[in-house]
Amino acid sequence: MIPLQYELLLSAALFCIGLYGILARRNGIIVLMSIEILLNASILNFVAFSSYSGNPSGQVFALLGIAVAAAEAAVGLAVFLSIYQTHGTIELDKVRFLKW
Amino acid sequence: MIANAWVVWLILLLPLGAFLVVGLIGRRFREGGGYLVVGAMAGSLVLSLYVFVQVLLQGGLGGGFTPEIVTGYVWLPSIPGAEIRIAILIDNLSSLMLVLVSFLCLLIFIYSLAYMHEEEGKARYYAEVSLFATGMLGTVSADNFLQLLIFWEIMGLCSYLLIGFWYHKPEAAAAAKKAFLVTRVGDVLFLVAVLIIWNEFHSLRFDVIAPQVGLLNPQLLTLIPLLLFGGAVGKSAQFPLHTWLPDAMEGPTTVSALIHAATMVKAGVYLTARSFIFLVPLAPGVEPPFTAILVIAGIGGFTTLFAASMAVVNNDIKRVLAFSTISQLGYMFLGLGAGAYVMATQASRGEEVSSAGYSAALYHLFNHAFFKALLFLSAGSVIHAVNTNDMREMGGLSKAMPTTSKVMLFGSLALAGIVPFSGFFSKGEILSVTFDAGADHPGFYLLYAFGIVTAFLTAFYAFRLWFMTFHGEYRGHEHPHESPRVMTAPLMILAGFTLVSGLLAYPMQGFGNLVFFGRPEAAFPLVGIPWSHYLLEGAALGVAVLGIALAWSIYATKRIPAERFTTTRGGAFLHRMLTRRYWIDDVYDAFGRNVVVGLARGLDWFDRNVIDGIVNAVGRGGMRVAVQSDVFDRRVIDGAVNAVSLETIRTSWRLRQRQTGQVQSYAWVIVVGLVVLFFLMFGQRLVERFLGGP
Repeated sequence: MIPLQYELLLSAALFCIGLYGILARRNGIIVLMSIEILLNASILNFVAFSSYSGNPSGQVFALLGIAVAAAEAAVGLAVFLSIYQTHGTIELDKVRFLKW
Repeated sequence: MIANAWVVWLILLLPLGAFLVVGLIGRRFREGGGYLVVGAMAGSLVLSLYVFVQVLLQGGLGGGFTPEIVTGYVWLPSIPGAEIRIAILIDNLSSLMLVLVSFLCLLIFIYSLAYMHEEEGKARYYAEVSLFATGMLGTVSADNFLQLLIFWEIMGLCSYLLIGFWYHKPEAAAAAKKAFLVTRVGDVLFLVAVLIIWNEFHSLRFDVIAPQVGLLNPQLLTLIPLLLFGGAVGKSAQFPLHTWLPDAMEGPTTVSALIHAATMVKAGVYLTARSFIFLVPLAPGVEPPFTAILVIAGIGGFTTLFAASMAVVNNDIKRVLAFSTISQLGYMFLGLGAGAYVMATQASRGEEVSSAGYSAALYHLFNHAFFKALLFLSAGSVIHAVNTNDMREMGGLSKAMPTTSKVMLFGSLALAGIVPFSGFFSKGEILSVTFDAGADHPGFYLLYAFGIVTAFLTAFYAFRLWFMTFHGEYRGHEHPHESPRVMTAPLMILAGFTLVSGLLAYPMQGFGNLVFFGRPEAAFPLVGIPWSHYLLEGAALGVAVLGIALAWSIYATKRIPAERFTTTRGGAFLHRMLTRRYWIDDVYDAFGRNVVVGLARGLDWFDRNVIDGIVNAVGRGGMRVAVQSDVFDRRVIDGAVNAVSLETIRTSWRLRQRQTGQVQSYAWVIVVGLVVLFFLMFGQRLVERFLGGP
């Protein structure tokens, strides 16, 4: 059995990678993918604790999280698609129309 | 008690109503409402006679009639006696005056119907004379000083309007203005007297004041009658306020008769007679105001000679009569003053008082009213015929105007004081009383001398007037004719009264009983008087005859040429002085031109330079303060407001920079915030865990 710490470390590493991707990358698709990594990091946490504690509700929550992540990816891609159609780019530092 | 005493109100209200009706719609009536005015006046006369007869029947002759007050309208209510009201006093004097005034007004109004027939503005004339009659009737029937003053001023207004009736003539307009301004001097004094009386007694009613006069301090007891006399001097044209009356002749002759003969100038005498409650306080132990009495008698005595001397040289028929009026009024004041002095002396000695002077003065007032109205109306009749006032262009008119010349002769005889015409009785009595007063104060001997010289001058100028007008050859260019019957009828009635009014004293058991002051007194003229008085009466008659004789020899037979008096240097100077009216009018005019106008100029300068300067300085100062305030407002107040808003804008601009619209920068903030939050929550435990805390 894999010790909990390893799992948590992996999860933390994934989270950091995702976070880095969100904060540092300019491409909207990459940011979307980083968000997926971030979500999976937290889902991994759910699963790890669930197997550690023997409580299955964590796994249920993980499934719910995946579903939400899929939906979120679909919405995010649709948003970016329409941004691309109107602005011709999905470079996030060029997408500034949320400004005043 | 008089039955139906309320009718006395109608005496006043009838002419007042006529004034309103004629004043508003008089032009629609025949003769400009003249008949209406005459009718109203006739009503007043009838009612006055009713009241007068009632007073006499109820013991008025013996003084048994208790004065009655018919209350009317209370103007300012207060405790009884202190209220200000309009009420009518009926006593011997006022009932007699009511009859006298309404009778003379009626005759003059009737005469006016013919005299004013061809004039423009008849409605205005009749309205004004009717209001004038109201004023005069109100004056003589007032029961308090304020009411008296009000009606007195109504008269003053009407005299102004009537003297200026021909207002398009500059002389008439000037004369009206002069009359108004000169009498105003006296009216102000009268007003001051009324205010003092109110202040002292808290009442203006004669009957309330009279018993309290003894409580007054001596200075005020002297001052009040002097101020009242000041009013009388203005109204009755006594020296030094006499100048308005000769100029007042610019009005229609009927107005001259109304103002001078019948009524207005007599108001001053009436007022002085009413102020006897101050002059002769009948309360024991009160020192009468001898100074005030001497001033009244002195001014009266001086004026009588002063005015008569000017009448001697005047050539204007009406002006001669005007000066004569001033002179005769002087007699009345002399009589009142001398009578008051005798009474006051007797009262202070505790003797029985004799009201001889009081009744003599009012007797003269009564007689003079008739003969002077007659003289003025006759003069009017003459002027009507020859269209001039100048006696040098008359002469010989007795042929063309027999009635006028005869009635005027009656008037002149009465004025001169020839027995049995009315002037003889009253003038003789006044002179006798003045002579008697000389025993108490020697100054009255001097005043008697003035009086007797005046009697001579009066007879002289009266007959100078008559001879120049009616004797000799006609010197003018008109075609004189006798006046119509409606004019001569009042003249004949008045001529009758010049005979009757003097003799009326006999059936009345002495005129003193008719006016009654102090106590009943039966004294028939020329009956039962001391032998010295016969001498005095004889002297008065003698100088009058002498005066007529002199006038006869100068102006009728021309045995003494008139030029003889003006050829010598002294005579020429005297003549010049008299024709220039002692230069008093000139002095007054100069006073007006130089002092009053100079004062006005000075005040104008003061106004422009000092007052306006102060006002402008204040304005400039205000502007300077406003500028400063404006700067403060702009810099400080607006500055603060702008600074706040500007800083808000600047801050918001800076904050706006933080909102980049870049989602990733927001995410950075969130992450950093989370990390900070995390360390705040768990930092301590982490430090303990990994560094091994205490």
